[in-house]
Amino acid sequence: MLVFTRKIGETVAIGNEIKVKILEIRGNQVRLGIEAPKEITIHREEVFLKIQKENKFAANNAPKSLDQIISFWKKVNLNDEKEK
Amino acid sequence: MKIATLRFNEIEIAEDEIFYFEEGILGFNNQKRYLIIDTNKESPFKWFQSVDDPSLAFVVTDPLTFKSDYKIEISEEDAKELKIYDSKKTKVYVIVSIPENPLEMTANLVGPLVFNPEAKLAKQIVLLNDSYDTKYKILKSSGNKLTCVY
Repeated sequence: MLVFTRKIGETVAIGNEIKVKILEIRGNQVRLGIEAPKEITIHREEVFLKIQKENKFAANNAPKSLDQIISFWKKVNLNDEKEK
Repeated sequence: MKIATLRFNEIEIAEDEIFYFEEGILGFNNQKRYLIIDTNKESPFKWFQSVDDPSLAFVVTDPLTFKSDYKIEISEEDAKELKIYDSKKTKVYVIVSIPENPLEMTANLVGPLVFNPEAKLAKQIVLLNDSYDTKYKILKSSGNKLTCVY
Protein backbone atom coordinates (compact mmCIF):
# COMPACT_ATOMS: atom_id res chain seq x y z
CA MET A 1 0.00 0.00 0.00
CA LEU A 2 1.24 3.41 -0.94
CA VAL A 3 1.14 5.81 1.99
CA PHE A 4 1.05 9.60 1.64
CA THR A 5 1.05 12.43 4.10
CA ARG A 6 -1.14 15.32 2.95
CA LYS A 7 -2.24 18.61 4.44
CA ILE A 8 -5.72 20.09 4.35
CA GLY A 9 -6.38 21.46 0.89
CA GLU A 10 -3.86 19.19 -0.76
CA THR A 11 -4.73 16.62 -3.38
CA VAL A 12 -3.68 13.16 -4.47
CA ALA A 13 -3.97 12.37 -8.17
CA ILE A 14 -4.67 8.81 -9.27
CA GLY A 15 -4.02 8.45 -12.97
CA ASN A 16 -5.03 11.41 -15.10
CA GLU A 17 -8.64 11.56 -14.14
CA ILE A 18 -9.05 10.90 -10.45
CA LYS A 19 -8.32 13.45 -7.76
CA VAL A 20 -8.79 13.06 -4.04
CA LYS A 21 -8.66 16.23 -1.97
CA ILE A 22 -8.40 16.46 1.79
CA LEU A 23 -11.11 18.96 2.72
CA GLU A 24 -11.30 18.88 6.46
CA ILE A 25 -10.00 17.01 9.48
CA ARG A 26 -12.17 16.93 12.57
CA GLY A 27 -11.03 14.69 15.42
CA ASN A 28 -10.79 11.21 13.94
CA GLN A 29 -12.82 12.09 10.84
CA VAL A 30 -11.49 13.13 7.47
CA ARG A 31 -13.65 14.72 4.80
CA LEU A 32 -12.59 13.86 1.29
CA GLY A 33 -13.56 15.45 -1.98
CA ILE A 34 -13.29 13.06 -4.91
CA GLU A 35 -13.27 14.00 -8.55
CA ALA A 36 -13.56 11.11 -10.96
CA PRO A 37 -15.07 10.30 -14.34
CA LYS A 38 -18.78 9.49 -14.19
CA GLU A 39 -18.35 5.84 -15.07
CA ILE A 40 -16.35 5.26 -11.91
CA THR A 41 -18.65 4.52 -9.02
CA ILE A 42 -17.58 5.75 -5.63
CA HIS A 43 -19.10 4.38 -2.46
CA ARG A 44 -18.23 3.96 1.15
CA GLU A 45 -16.57 0.58 1.26
CA GLU A 46 -18.71 -0.73 4.10
CA VAL A 47 -21.86 -0.34 1.99
CA PHE A 48 -20.37 -2.60 -0.66
CA LEU A 49 -19.22 -5.10 1.93
CA LYS A 50 -22.61 -5.12 3.60
CA ILE A 51 -24.41 -5.87 0.34
CA GLN A 52 -21.86 -8.52 -0.56
CA LYS A 53 -22.36 -10.17 2.82
CA GLU A 54 -26.14 -9.98 2.47
CA ASN A 55 -26.03 -11.52 -1.02
CA LYS A 56 -23.93 -14.40 0.27
CA PHE A 57 -26.21 -14.94 3.23
CA ALA A 58 -29.28 -14.92 0.98
CA ALA A 59 -27.71 -17.41 -1.43
CA ASN A 60 -26.48 -19.75 1.29
CA ASN A 61 -29.80 -19.73 3.10
CA ALA A 62 -32.17 -19.84 0.16
CA PRO A 63 -34.71 -22.57 0.83
CA LYS A 64 -35.39 -25.56 -1.41
CA SER A 65 -38.89 -24.33 -2.03
CA LEU A 66 -40.92 -21.18 -1.47
CA ASP A 67 -43.83 -23.03 0.16
CA GLN A 68 -42.88 -22.31 3.76
CA ILE A 69 -42.24 -18.59 3.34
CA ILE A 70 -45.42 -18.21 1.30
CA SER A 71 -47.44 -19.81 4.08
CA PHE A 72 -45.86 -17.51 6.67
CA TRP A 73 -46.55 -14.52 4.50
CA LYS A 74 -50.21 -15.59 4.13
CA LYS A 75 -50.63 -16.07 7.87
CA VAL A 76 -49.19 -12.64 8.66
CA ASN A 77 -51.40 -11.08 6.00
CA LEU A 78 -54.48 -12.75 7.44
CA ASN A 79 -53.61 -11.58 10.94
CA ASP A 80 -53.22 -8.05 9.64
CA GLU A 81 -56.62 -8.15 8.04
CA LYS A 82 -58.28 -9.47 11.18
CA GLU A 83 -56.93 -6.47 13.05
CA LYS A 84 -58.43 -3.96 10.65
CA MET B 1 -32.47 -24.06 -24.30
CA LYS B 2 -32.21 -26.38 -21.33
CA ILE B 3 -30.54 -25.36 -18.10
CA ALA B 4 -29.74 -27.35 -14.98
CA THR B 5 -31.00 -26.08 -11.64
CA LEU B 6 -30.79 -27.57 -8.18
CA ARG B 7 -34.37 -26.74 -7.25
CA PHE B 8 -36.22 -27.36 -10.49
CA ASN B 9 -33.92 -29.96 -12.04
CA GLU B 10 -33.53 -29.40 -15.73
CA ILE B 11 -35.78 -26.71 -17.11
CA GLU B 12 -36.50 -25.49 -20.58
CA ILE B 13 -36.17 -21.75 -20.96
CA ALA B 14 -36.33 -19.31 -23.82
CA GLU B 15 -33.17 -17.41 -24.65
CA ASP B 16 -35.02 -14.13 -24.12
CA GLU B 17 -35.82 -14.92 -20.49
CA ILE B 18 -32.16 -14.48 -19.62
CA PHE B 19 -30.93 -11.24 -18.14
CA TYR B 20 -27.32 -10.28 -18.48
CA PHE B 21 -25.54 -8.77 -15.47
CA GLU B 22 -22.38 -7.24 -16.88
CA GLU B 23 -20.74 -7.05 -13.44
CA GLY B 24 -22.48 -10.02 -11.87
CA ILE B 25 -23.90 -9.20 -8.46
CA LEU B 26 -21.80 -8.24 -5.45
CA GLY B 27 -19.96 -11.28 -4.12
CA PHE B 28 -20.84 -13.33 -7.23
CA ASN B 29 -18.99 -11.44 -9.90
CA ASN B 30 -18.50 -14.45 -12.16
CA GLN B 31 -22.16 -15.30 -12.56
CA LYS B 32 -23.53 -13.00 -15.21
CA ARG B 33 -26.71 -14.66 -16.49
CA TYR B 34 -29.87 -15.02 -14.46
CA LEU B 35 -33.56 -15.49 -14.94
CA ILE B 36 -36.66 -14.92 -12.85
CA ILE B 37 -38.72 -18.01 -12.12
CA ASP B 38 -42.25 -17.50 -10.89
CA THR B 39 -43.48 -20.70 -9.26
CA ASN B 40 -46.54 -19.26 -7.54
CA LYS B 41 -48.19 -16.28 -9.14
CA GLU B 42 -50.27 -15.45 -6.08
CA SER B 43 -47.24 -15.00 -3.88
CA PRO B 44 -44.96 -11.98 -3.93
CA PHE B 45 -41.87 -14.21 -3.91
CA LYS B 46 -39.97 -15.31 -6.98
CA TRP B 47 -36.75 -17.12 -7.73
CA PHE B 48 -33.75 -15.35 -9.14
CA GLN B 49 -31.84 -18.25 -10.62
CA SER B 50 -28.33 -18.32 -12.06
CA VAL B 51 -28.26 -19.79 -15.54
CA ASP B 52 -24.69 -21.05 -15.19
CA ASP B 53 -24.57 -22.27 -11.60
CA PRO B 54 -27.43 -24.72 -10.89
CA SER B 55 -27.16 -24.32 -7.12
CA LEU B 56 -27.13 -20.51 -7.09
CA ALA B 57 -30.57 -19.02 -6.60
CA PHE B 58 -32.01 -16.20 -4.53
CA VAL B 59 -35.49 -15.45 -3.31
CA VAL B 60 -36.55 -12.04 -4.57
CA THR B 61 -39.62 -9.88 -4.22
CA ASP B 62 -41.13 -6.67 -5.50
CA PRO B 63 -40.10 -4.16 -2.81
CA LEU B 64 -43.37 -2.25 -3.15
CA THR B 65 -45.29 -5.20 -1.73
CA PHE B 66 -43.61 -4.66 1.61
CA LYS B 67 -42.64 -1.02 1.49
CA SER B 68 -45.09 0.96 -0.58
CA ASP B 69 -43.06 4.18 -0.50
CA TYR B 70 -39.82 2.54 -1.65
CA LYS B 71 -38.06 4.71 -4.20
CA ILE B 72 -34.75 4.36 -5.92
CA GLU B 73 -32.65 6.73 -7.90
CA ILE B 74 -30.82 5.28 -10.87
CA SER B 75 -27.67 7.18 -11.72
CA GLU B 76 -27.13 8.48 -15.21
CA GLU B 77 -24.27 6.05 -15.66
CA ASP B 78 -26.31 3.04 -14.56
CA ALA B 79 -29.17 4.10 -16.83
CA LYS B 80 -26.75 4.30 -19.72
CA GLU B 81 -25.23 0.95 -18.94
CA LEU B 82 -28.66 -0.69 -18.74
CA LYS B 83 -29.96 1.23 -21.77
CA ILE B 84 -32.82 2.63 -19.73
CA TYR B 85 -34.52 5.47 -21.56
CA ASP B 86 -37.88 5.23 -19.86
CA SER B 87 -37.74 4.44 -16.16
CA LYS B 88 -41.35 3.18 -16.24
CA LYS B 89 -40.19 0.22 -18.26
CA THR B 90 -37.80 -1.04 -15.62
CA LYS B 91 -38.56 -3.74 -13.13
CA VAL B 92 -37.06 -3.73 -9.65
CA TYR B 93 -36.66 -6.68 -7.31
CA VAL B 94 -34.92 -6.92 -3.97
CA ILE B 95 -33.17 -9.98 -2.58
CA VAL B 96 -34.78 -11.68 0.40
CA SER B 97 -32.66 -13.25 3.15
CA ILE B 98 -34.30 -16.08 5.03
CA PRO B 99 -32.78 -16.84 8.42
CA GLU B 100 -33.45 -19.92 10.52
CA ASN B 101 -36.74 -18.46 11.64
CA PRO B 102 -38.38 -17.43 8.36
CA LEU B 103 -40.65 -15.01 10.20
CA GLU B 104 -37.57 -12.85 10.59
CA MET B 105 -36.94 -12.69 6.86
CA THR B 106 -35.50 -9.46 5.51
CA ALA B 107 -35.12 -7.72 2.19
CA ASN B 108 -32.04 -5.86 1.08
CA LEU B 109 -33.31 -2.41 0.16
CA VAL B 110 -29.86 -0.88 -0.36
CA GLY B 111 -28.82 -3.14 -3.24
CA PRO B 112 -31.88 -3.57 -5.49
CA LEU B 113 -31.77 -5.50 -8.74
CA VAL B 114 -32.80 -3.27 -11.62
CA PHE B 115 -33.97 -4.98 -14.81
CA ASN B 116 -34.48 -3.60 -18.25
CA PRO B 117 -36.84 -6.19 -19.77
CA GLU B 118 -36.46 -4.82 -23.29
CA ALA B 119 -32.69 -4.86 -23.45
CA LYS B 120 -32.41 -7.93 -21.19
CA LEU B 121 -29.83 -6.09 -19.13
CA ALA B 122 -29.78 -5.89 -15.37
CA LYS B 123 -27.64 -4.73 -12.50
CA GLN B 124 -27.50 -4.73 -8.74
CA ILE B 125 -27.22 -1.06 -7.98
CA VAL B 126 -26.00 0.45 -4.73
CA LEU B 127 -28.23 3.19 -3.40
CA LEU B 128 -26.75 6.31 -1.87
CA ASN B 129 -29.88 6.78 0.20
CA ASP B 130 -28.84 6.31 3.81
CA SER B 131 -32.36 5.73 5.05
CA TYR B 132 -32.71 2.20 3.68
CA ASP B 133 -31.51 -0.96 5.35
CA THR B 134 -29.83 -4.08 3.96
CA LYS B 135 -31.92 -6.04 6.46
CA TYR B 136 -35.42 -4.60 6.20
CA LYS B 137 -37.83 -6.86 8.04
CA ILE B 138 -40.69 -7.65 5.69
CA LEU B 139 -43.17 -9.46 7.91
CA LYS B 140 -43.93 -6.48 10.11
CA SER B 141 -46.59 -7.89 12.35
CA SER B 142 -44.85 -11.20 12.88
CA GLY B 143 -43.55 -10.14 16.30
CA ASN B 144 -45.47 -12.02 18.95
CA LYS B 145 -48.53 -13.31 17.16
CA LEU B 146 -47.00 -16.25 15.40
CA THR B 147 -44.60 -18.84 16.59
CA CYS B 148 -42.46 -20.66 14.16
CA VAL B 149 -43.05 -24.40 13.96
CA TYR B 150 -40.69 -26.54 11.96
